[in-house]
Amino acid sequence: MVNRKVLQLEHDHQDEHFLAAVKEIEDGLEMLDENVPVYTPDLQFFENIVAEQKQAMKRNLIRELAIFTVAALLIVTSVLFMLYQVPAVFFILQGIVTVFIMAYSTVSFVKQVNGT
Amino acid sequence: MEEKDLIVSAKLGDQLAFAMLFKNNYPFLVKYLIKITMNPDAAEELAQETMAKCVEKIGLFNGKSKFSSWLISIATNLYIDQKRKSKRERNWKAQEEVFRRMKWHLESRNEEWNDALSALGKLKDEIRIPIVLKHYYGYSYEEIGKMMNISSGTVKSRVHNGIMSVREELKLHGEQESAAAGTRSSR
Repeated sequence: MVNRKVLQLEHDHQDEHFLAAVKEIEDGLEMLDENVPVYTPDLQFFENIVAEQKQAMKRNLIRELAIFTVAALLIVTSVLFMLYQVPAVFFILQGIVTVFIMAYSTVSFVKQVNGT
Repeated sequence: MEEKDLIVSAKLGDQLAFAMLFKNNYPFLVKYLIKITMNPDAAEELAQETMAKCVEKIGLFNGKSKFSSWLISIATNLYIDQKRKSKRERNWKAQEEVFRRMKWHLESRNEEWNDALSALGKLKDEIRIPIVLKHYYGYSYEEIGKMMNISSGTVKSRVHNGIMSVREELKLHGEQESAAAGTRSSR
């Protein structure tokens, strides 16, 4: 009982220090808030930021679409070229890709089952 | 125009609505960033980057939280990412310089420098940010967890440990001062 009282007193003392630290932090941050002036630019400044960002997003979209289209065209061209010019290689590649996908899926599935 | 209407218009691509939203929330955002970076110049720069990111991500804003909360959650993640990328984990010299300037700035306005700010500045960003969000802005552990993509338990322990460190630092400082005073009086 006595020990519990001592522990309680120590705990209260600890809490007091903890709350004092929190208070110090709050006071410091409040002082920063009040004493560091923040200048808010006019509406035009913010409109410019929005316009510039939208322009940048548009440019990015166009670039990504262009890269995607070129890559897709290259793949389709090479596949069609193989199909009409060297059909043997085309069918061998088809077989290899199918086997690879099946093997990869099986290994992933087995890993997942063993993992759980 | 109310904030909700501005958000709806901004989502539809209205540039003016976006600008008004940003103008209304700019001081709040910059002041928050000053507290976590302790550097007014870096805070303004980061605020502009946050607004640019916001234009990109406005479609993802669901309106459940306040717009200002969403802004500071983007700003927080942007700041943490930038710190990680720059790999300047703890550049003490630069940090000291930032504090020195901030201290000078406050003292020039006849304000006393608060030692808790120095102690807070010595903490890692991942610890300082939850303390500021919890004890200055009053966000709950869950809300801070969502903002920083960590669990509320982690937030709670970071806040607690951070405050303990600040407490220790303040106590140490007090001991040093009293020791120094003792030395002076004995001379």
